[in-house]
Amino acid sequence: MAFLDILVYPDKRLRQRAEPVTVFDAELEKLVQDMAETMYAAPGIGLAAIQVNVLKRVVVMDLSEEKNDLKVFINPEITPLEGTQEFEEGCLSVPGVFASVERVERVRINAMDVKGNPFELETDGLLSVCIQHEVDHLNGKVFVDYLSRMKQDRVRKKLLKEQKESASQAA
Amino acid sequence: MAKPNPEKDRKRTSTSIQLVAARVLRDVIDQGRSLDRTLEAETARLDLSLRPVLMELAYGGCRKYYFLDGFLSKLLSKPIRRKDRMVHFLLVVGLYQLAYMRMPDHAAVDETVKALAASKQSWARGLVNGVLRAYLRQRDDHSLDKLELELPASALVSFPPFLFDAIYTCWPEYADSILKTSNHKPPMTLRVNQQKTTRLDYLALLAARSIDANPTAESTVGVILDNPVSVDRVPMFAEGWVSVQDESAQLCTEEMILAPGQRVLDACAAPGGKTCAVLEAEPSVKLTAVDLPERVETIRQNLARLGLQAEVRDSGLGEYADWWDGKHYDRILMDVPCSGTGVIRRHPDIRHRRQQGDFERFSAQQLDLLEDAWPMLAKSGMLLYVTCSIMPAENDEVIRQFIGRHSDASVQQVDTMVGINTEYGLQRLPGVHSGDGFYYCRLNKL
Repeated sequence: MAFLDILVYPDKRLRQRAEPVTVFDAELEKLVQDMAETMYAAPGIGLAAIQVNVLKRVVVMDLSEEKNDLKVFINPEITPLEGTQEFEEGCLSVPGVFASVERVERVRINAMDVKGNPFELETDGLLSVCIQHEVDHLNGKVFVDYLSRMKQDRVRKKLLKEQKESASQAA
Repeated sequence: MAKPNPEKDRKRTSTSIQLVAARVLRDVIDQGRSLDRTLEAETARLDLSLRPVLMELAYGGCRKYYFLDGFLSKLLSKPIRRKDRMVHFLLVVGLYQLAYMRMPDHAAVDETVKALAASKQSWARGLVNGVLRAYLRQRDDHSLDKLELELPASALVSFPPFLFDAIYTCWPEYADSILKTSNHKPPMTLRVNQQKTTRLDYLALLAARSIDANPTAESTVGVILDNPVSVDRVPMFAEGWVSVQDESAQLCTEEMILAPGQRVLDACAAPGGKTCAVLEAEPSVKLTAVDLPERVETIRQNLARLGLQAEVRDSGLGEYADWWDGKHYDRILMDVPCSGTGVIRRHPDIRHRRQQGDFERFSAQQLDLLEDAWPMLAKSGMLLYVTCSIMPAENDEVIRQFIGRHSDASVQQVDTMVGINTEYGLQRLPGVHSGDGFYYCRLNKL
């Protein structure tokens, strides 16, 4: 197992579109394991492969307090069903920033597990928010994009400044 | 995605209780939600020590809403915009604190203004400060009394105009007492389980635990506590020695003239209070309790706690093909869904959740339920029709229509308790008789 490096906003690589997974092999299983490990260490509740610079449509998630309920979504597709909800979201690629984002309340998820078996579920609440957030990542989108231009600027400057500071400290 | 913001959670635990109370009032008054259910959801997230204050603000705010709202409209130069309802309800909470709570004036104002910040409505600080201080100024120079004279009569007793009018029309000579008592905090009344102990012994047990209590005047199994306590502090509650039940409701059992071995149907049984009362009074009856699937669980819980046996059926009364064994019942208890206008002191949100036309809607449903139950009553059996409504439309009027359709139904006077004899039944009114407002009518099958 290994901890992977998480790309930090406004890294351009977060803007790429991930490719569907076609091969379900040991390499994919290792990626999922490493991603889970990285997510738990962060600590986070969801991680998309693109955030660790892997251009595959892979999402790991664990919403439980006990960190014992790992969910894996390969090639996830979302169908919006009904309602809207607002939730204060944060992102491992945008550390320290939390902002309220409006999402669809109830969605249907079609995805595959790590072996390639398809499954379907309907959900609302945090799982719904989280999967929408992660699928955005797979499409090159970050939750900051939903904020006003002014707030986006502020986030960008804050993170660039922090990155500069940590770089100079390292040097 | 990152874990939800820990910083925000910290803020939430220090959340303003005034803001939570304002949110509860908005949900109940603007959105017609049930006070108890809204409170249940809010208190689950709340520090235990804050719960009593929230209860006081939410229950009290519901009780005094129309009165405080009346004042508010006099104190404001123009009404608060529809989209700023939270500010409106925070002002109601602020006024409630100033008028009814033992809280220093400055604290009541400050806490309300702080609640604005917590709800990101700091723009209204000047407004809220101004209104609350205007209230204090007018209270201190006694011009508030003058303002009070300008309020409509319905606002003075904190009732919506239509309900105020309806009560006055139905009970002109008693309306003052009814309205006044509906605004009082109700007493906590217990029903002693005769199968486990006696009222005398239980009163002795309460005395030993320094809980002040008195026997009820009419019910032979009732005990009234001087000060309400939560049920987990009621001695032997979990062991099934007592249940919480108003005196008027307790009196149902005596009305039914139960005899050993009778077949009894409790046709609208949830939450099971009267079901259990029947079994405690006459444990040898064969009792079937019916209510809708989402409601029966509480019946089972109550039976289990009290150590009583009944057949519980989760079904609509009208779908008796699904559950009835075809044998007629000697007694049917029909405590039908109603407007609850007799129990407003226990459920202050009822005044907010009723609208014009509700009484007619309830009466249509009540008549349907009676029609459903009647075929299951044995010849010379008796059906006891009960509501906690004080509206004749749901009471005598329903019976009038029912006996007009059924020549085999005859009314037998209710004579075992104090109350107002109406054309067909007996009405107890809050503030006039002891206990909640209830209506009873006995129908015999010829």
